Amino acid sequence: MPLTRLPEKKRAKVVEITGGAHLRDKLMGMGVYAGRELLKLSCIGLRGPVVVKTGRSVVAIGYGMAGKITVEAL
Amino acid sequence: MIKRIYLAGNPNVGKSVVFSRLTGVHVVSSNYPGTTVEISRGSLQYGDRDIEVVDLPGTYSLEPTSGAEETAVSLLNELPKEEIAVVNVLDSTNLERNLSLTLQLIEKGFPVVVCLNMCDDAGHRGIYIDSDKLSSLLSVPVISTCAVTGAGIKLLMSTIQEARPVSRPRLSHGERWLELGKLIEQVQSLEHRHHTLRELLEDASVRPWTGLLMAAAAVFVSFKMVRFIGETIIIRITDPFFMEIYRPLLEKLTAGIKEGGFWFHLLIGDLINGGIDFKQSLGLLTTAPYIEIGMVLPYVIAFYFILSLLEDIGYLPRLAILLDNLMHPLGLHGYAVIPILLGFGCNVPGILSTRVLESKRERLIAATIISIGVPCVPLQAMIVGLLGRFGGLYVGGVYLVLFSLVIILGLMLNRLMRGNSPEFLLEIPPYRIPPLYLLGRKLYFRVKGFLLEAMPVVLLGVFFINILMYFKVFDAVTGLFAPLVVNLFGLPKDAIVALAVGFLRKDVAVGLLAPLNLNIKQLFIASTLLAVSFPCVATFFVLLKELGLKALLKSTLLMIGISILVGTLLNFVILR
Repeated sequence: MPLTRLPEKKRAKVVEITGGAHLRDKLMGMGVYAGRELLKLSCIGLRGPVVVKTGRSVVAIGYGMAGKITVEAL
Repeated sequence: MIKRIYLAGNPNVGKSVVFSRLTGVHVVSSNYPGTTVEISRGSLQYGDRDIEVVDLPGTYSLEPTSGAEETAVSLLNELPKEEIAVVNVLDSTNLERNLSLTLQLIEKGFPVVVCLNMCDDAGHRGIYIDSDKLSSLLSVPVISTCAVTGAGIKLLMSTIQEARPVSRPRLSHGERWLELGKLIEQVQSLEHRHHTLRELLEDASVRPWTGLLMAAAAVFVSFKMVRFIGETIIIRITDPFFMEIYRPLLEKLTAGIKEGGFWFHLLIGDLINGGIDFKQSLGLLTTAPYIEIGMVLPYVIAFYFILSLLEDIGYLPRLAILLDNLMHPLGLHGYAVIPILLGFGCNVPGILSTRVLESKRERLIAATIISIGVPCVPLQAMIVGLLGRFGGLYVGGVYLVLFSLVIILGLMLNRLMRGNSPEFLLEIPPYRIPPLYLLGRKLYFRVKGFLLEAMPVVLLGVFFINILMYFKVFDAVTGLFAPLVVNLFGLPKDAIVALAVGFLRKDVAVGLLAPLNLNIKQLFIASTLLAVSFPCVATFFVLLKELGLKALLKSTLLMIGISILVGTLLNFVILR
């Protein structure tokens, strides 16, 4: 399922990041990549950003971008 | 032989603080990614020679994905690798992600020294790093530092020359993260800590409801604090100084100069009811210093104190998340909140920091919004000073007009300009309690910067205005624009001078309105026009530098058009 649909406070594993290599590289640098576990901290309503915790970083990901990240709930 | 030292690292790891420690050169640091928008250079004494030190913008990867990262990478490759050393600054509280760049630097053959910064904070969070082990695993020197207090900096300085290139196989991204996982297991131990109050607040501020509540509280308290601090300085310090010390002194000193003569007109201006009136006399020694020091400076201090506090605590990125979806219709994303907030201090740093935004389109929208709809502290202080006595409603009214303009302008530009806005992606820093000395220094440099920039312009401005007025040169100019200003905006002819001076400095311009005996409607229109119309000369040049001539001309035309429209609407429709 896309990251946007993962319930809050749920752990999940990144399965795939669709969209360009540019986006993948960007997220990779911040520690979000296929195979990585993350915790969805919150999402701001009305198509606001999704906030995830990966390792020790907290990253806010825009709604559209978050929709391109497929995750698998753990 | 090392000729240059680079400070490289992820955004918001404290590179700029390390830079200040190494070189003694002050650079602004804050607790959010992307504070460094201009490359700072300084030098470090090494034995009997100086080595150049360059503070690079934060980068996550050596394969650049943003403008700032491209700059960083191209600077790194400027000199041959034998002539440089790279101090890779790491945030110890987030070792794994930070080490990704370290590995890339080493793989590419750069001579690296690793600087484990913020090691005190890591300790507080129950994170322990075996730096010796890390050093042997990476085969490069590793130094623990806490740049904010200065711990470890001496050792770092003496270790820099030991930086050597190390051969390491080049890994793909995926392999590198696997490798990092293994590395971390060997060097880092975590002690389980219960959630602290700080972490609870960190979480609460990124959740929709609690976050909005906190944001509302933060904005409200900040606003109240700025007013309180500003007013306190005026009532307790600057006004007593001007009224009780400076005025008697000035009256004594100028006793020999004949009233009404050229010199009296230039230095003191006009006497109001037989005495000096700092707000209305318009002399080089009366109104000019009073506007800057007695009316504007207190609010500049108050504003920058609160802004610096919010910056260093790390609150601003959280505000950016909450406002992200509200900014999209304007063609911006949440991060644009930071340049806009800076713009409220002075439009110049606000427009400069639009560099954190990715596309040219976003930067143009943000810069235009800032220069038209965001009033700087000096302008706000003067508007409050002039309109405040008629009641808060009128001051609020000016803000309401500006706010509506920002919304309309954003919606319009977003529609008219081609392209779409990139998405928001931002690392959210932990809250940090800023050390007072760092806060004090930042405030000092900002206030000093304001005085150095404002005082000469104000003094020169008042000097030339007085000379031109004395020789009645303005009459010709006012005659030319009179129909526009009198018929459309309902302002007296003399207001033209003030509006024209707005190009020099907005605060002086509002000051020039004071002696004109305008009624409240005219004051309201004139203040709003000054806020909306042409940016001041400093902003003008920064727009030229950042956007280029073509975009500047476009946004100037827009500004003139909007000013005429807003002035006319206010005069004939809204305020009637």
